[in-house]
Amino acid sequence: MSNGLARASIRFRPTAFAGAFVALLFASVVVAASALFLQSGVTLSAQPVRYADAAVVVAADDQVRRGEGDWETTLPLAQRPLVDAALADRLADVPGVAAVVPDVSATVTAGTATWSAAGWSRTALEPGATTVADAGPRTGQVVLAPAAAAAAVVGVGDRLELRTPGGTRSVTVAALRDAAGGPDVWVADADAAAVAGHPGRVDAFALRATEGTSAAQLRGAVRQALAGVPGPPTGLVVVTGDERGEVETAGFGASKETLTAIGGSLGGVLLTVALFVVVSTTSLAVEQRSRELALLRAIGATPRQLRRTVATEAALVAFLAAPLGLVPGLFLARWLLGEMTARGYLLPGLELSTGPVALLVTVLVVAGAAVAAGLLAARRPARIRPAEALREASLAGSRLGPARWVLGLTALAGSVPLAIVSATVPGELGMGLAATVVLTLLLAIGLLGPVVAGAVSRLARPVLDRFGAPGRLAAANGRTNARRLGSAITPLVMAVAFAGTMFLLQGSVDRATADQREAAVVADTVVSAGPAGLPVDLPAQVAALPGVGAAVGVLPASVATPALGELMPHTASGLTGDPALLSRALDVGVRDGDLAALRPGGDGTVALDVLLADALDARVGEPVELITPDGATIRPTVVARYDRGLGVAAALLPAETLRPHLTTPVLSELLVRHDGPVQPADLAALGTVTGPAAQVAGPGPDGAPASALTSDSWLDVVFAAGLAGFAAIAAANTLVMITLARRREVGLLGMVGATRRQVLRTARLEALVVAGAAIGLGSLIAWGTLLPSVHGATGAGPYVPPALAAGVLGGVVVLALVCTGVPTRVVLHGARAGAVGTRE
Amino acid sequence: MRTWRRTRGDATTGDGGSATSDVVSLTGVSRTYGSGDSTVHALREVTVGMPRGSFTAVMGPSGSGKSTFLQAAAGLDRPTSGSVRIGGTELTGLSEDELTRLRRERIGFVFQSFNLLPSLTAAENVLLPLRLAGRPAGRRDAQAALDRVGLGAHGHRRPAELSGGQQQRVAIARALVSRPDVVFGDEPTGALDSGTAADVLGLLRGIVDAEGATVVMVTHDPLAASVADRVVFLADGALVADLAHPSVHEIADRMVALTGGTGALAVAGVQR
Repeated sequence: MSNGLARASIRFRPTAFAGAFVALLFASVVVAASALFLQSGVTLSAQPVRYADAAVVVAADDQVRRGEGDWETTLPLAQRPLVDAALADRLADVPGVAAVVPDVSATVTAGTATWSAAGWSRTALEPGATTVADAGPRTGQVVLAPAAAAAAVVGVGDRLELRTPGGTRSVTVAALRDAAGGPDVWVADADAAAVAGHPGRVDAFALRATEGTSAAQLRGAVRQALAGVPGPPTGLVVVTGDERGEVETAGFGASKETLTAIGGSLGGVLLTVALFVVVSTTSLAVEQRSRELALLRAIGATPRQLRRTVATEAALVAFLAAPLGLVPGLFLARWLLGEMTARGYLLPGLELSTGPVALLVTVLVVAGAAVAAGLLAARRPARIRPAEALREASLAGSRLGPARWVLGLTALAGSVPLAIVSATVPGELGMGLAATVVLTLLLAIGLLGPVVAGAVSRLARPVLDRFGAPGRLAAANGRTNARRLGSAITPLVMAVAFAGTMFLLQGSVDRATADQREAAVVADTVVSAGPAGLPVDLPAQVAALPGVGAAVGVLPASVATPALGELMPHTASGLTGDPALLSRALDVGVRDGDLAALRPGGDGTVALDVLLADALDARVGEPVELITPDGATIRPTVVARYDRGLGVAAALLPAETLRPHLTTPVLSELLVRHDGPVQPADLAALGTVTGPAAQVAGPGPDGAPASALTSDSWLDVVFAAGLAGFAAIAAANTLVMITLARRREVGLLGMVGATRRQVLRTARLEALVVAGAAIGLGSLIAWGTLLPSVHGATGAGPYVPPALAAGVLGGVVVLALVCTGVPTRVVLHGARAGAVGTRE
Repeated sequence: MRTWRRTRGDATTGDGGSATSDVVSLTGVSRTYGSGDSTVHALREVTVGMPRGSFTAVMGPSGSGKSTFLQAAAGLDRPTSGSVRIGGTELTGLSEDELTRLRRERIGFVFQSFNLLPSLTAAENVLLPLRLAGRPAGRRDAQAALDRVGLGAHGHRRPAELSGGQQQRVAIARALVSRPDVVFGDEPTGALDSGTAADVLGLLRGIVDAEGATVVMVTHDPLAASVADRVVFLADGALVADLAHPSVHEIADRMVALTGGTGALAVAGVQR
């Protein structure tokens, strides 16, 4: 419609659209940040550096695939699995192959220094090289980068103790060699795989092509030659071009997945919340102009014209607001990427992809949301007959249309089965569903807002009546203007519910994790590995020390199980040593079965956390299907079920069973139990064996080891804070909009003799009703969601950190008071007597 | 001089006694709100017709159904039973869109207050019905309409920059711009002082006399009603009297009779 109404009304009274503008601006910020993450994940590629001169790279696929066609599900692995070193001979026979370079990387420590290590054949991949460099190290020798040698204060001919995933080795420095981009230390090719902890297997093969053979031709030839050759469980990939960089960069697939998942799922939740906020803000703005819209209807605007006018207004505001949100969105995404990288969620050096597609999509999505919100908001004033509209306009009624009733009750009813499902699904999936339950309940409250507000004002009335005239006035305002009260309460409920659910869920999980961990560790000393980890054979050496009764090494890993058609990863640990001695270092709270039976051999054995066992319907003595970290399927027999899975791991297996499935089989910690009290000499002896890079924590005053567990919930806390913050901004925005629109009412109060103090008191009481209702309803939603989810995740009841709860509640009260009080003062200041009869 | 008399379709006679030339005719119109014990009868079996070129005032005490009558006659609201015809078109059975189209093509409105969109200038407000109807509307149409109400120099002003009387005259210009069959006024002078009210009434009288327009005006002010050719009285939703060319005192007496104890108010209105 080109009657110019939309443009005229925005230009004439921009303040009426300020609320919608603010809502859309913040929506644009969060949508832009999500879109940028998604785009970065989708377009993430790694330039090959090491493999830049290799025509083709052969490696294991880092995705587990199960099922076929539409039912195929994939799970990205944390680390790319290994390939058999013997494959080199077969590759060398492929026509067009000039050279096969097996590549092995490892992280080792020498003293306190952490070094990157590689096999000597890596030199064949250096720029300009056609074959391996001369004068390579022989077995037992290493070649050092000059910087590393200087730091370790060693020279050619010196001996050096190297702690590697494959154990501690005494090596001789054969030469110093400077190579740009090279590792700190080269080991002999014969030693490389063993040093990396996986003898007989390598990370990848880089192939050089003979002259006249293109990379694509070679890739085809290699694929043909490898068809039918037994490979790793996930299969082999033969890649050229930029995909070589993906193979080269350890953790590439996981980072890509993280970026995409955060952009997608966070973006989805944020978009829902943003839509919700924009719809409620736009509805409020439309309601505040209902007289104007009724007049338009009376002089001949059709309902369709009215809807289009409101939608056009919304689109115009969106096209102003959305681009402004892009820059802050960019900064938000940058900040989050930086923090996540610093905390190890992402590969170092990842760049945010700032291409225009994500930004364009953001503007279109926000504008689309605004138009949808406008169409929805205009439904009521457009449908209503003009006579009713003129009558009703001065007093926003509390009657709900049948559509809102039906949708609201449907949302309310739908949240019940969702809550039940979220309670029965363990772990992260259950917690993800909890967020959906919250959203569904909020939707119900939003739709039934006026009804909810009516109930709230009935409840608040007896209390308000004690506060004299302002109290009665506040009660009457709530009663007769339930729609407005509903609009004020809903976003604040959202803020409380988000903050409550997410923080308390995380708080409960953290607390349960810490409690279980404390109860599970019965060792008196804990050795924590540095970044390079500890070799798997270390516990045997420690156990041989005098005075050590038991030493259990923890090999961190993960196993995946099928759940709801997806592959769900769970934490798993490999345990070293004699299972009969396990209970001296670790008490996982065995429910049934016996941990002493956790031995390798045959199809293997596994102990499962009760919650995981229940979800898998696994019983002691029966086999269970698990997917190992390299994508292989194993069917170990369940030997025990235990309670303290959060504090230890959801699945426990013998270290020998997991080791061949890990790319970097190193221990994260070592639990040591001494016979008798721990002497300083015991700790010193332990330190000598484990090396200076590891931290030895002896018993504290209570006899338990003084090791602190660091929580991994940073990302969840940031998301919860982000969601709650967004909801709080929406709430503040709505309260200010509502209060500023009451100019006429406040002016009228002044004319009939209400003092400034009385008006402010009324506003304060109304704000407290809003805050109280939001806290009550928000807590109800949070608690209802929390209870099943926490039970699903921890097997225990929820824990509410008192300081956090006080902070959230206090924040809500302050927000309501400030966002009502300040605009009331503005209204009082500007519009005392003259207000009546001005703006409607 | 333009003529406001236009023939649209066949102005068939209603079966309630309306004359063939009636632009607006209501036949047995009732309107109730609510149901059961709480039913409110806002209009009871009202039958009345307004001929072309006539100026009719509708009077009655508060709650007598004046506004409901106007809304039903103008297609703003749907009667519970009975028939409403405008320019020969039966309103019952029209869809909301058809009703809207009929309103903007054949009916003009002047309300008591809040008549104009504050975001539009006087000229834009005047042209709005034409624009909504998708009809070509130029500066000249607005100028002509504003000239007719004596506001030719104020077309670029926004409502907030105009006095109450000027705003009401813009509203009248807007009501006339689509050359409607009938102009309805809902207390058009209710918010104005007596001098300005007289100007506005003079304007309405003028378009009836000089241009042959049809005006139906709801008012509680006997002085305003005395400008009309005919005054009909409502009480409790029913038509109770129909006076031709009554004097101010006749109207006031009738109102006193209808309102009983509150008659003093009506007298005060006369003495204003």
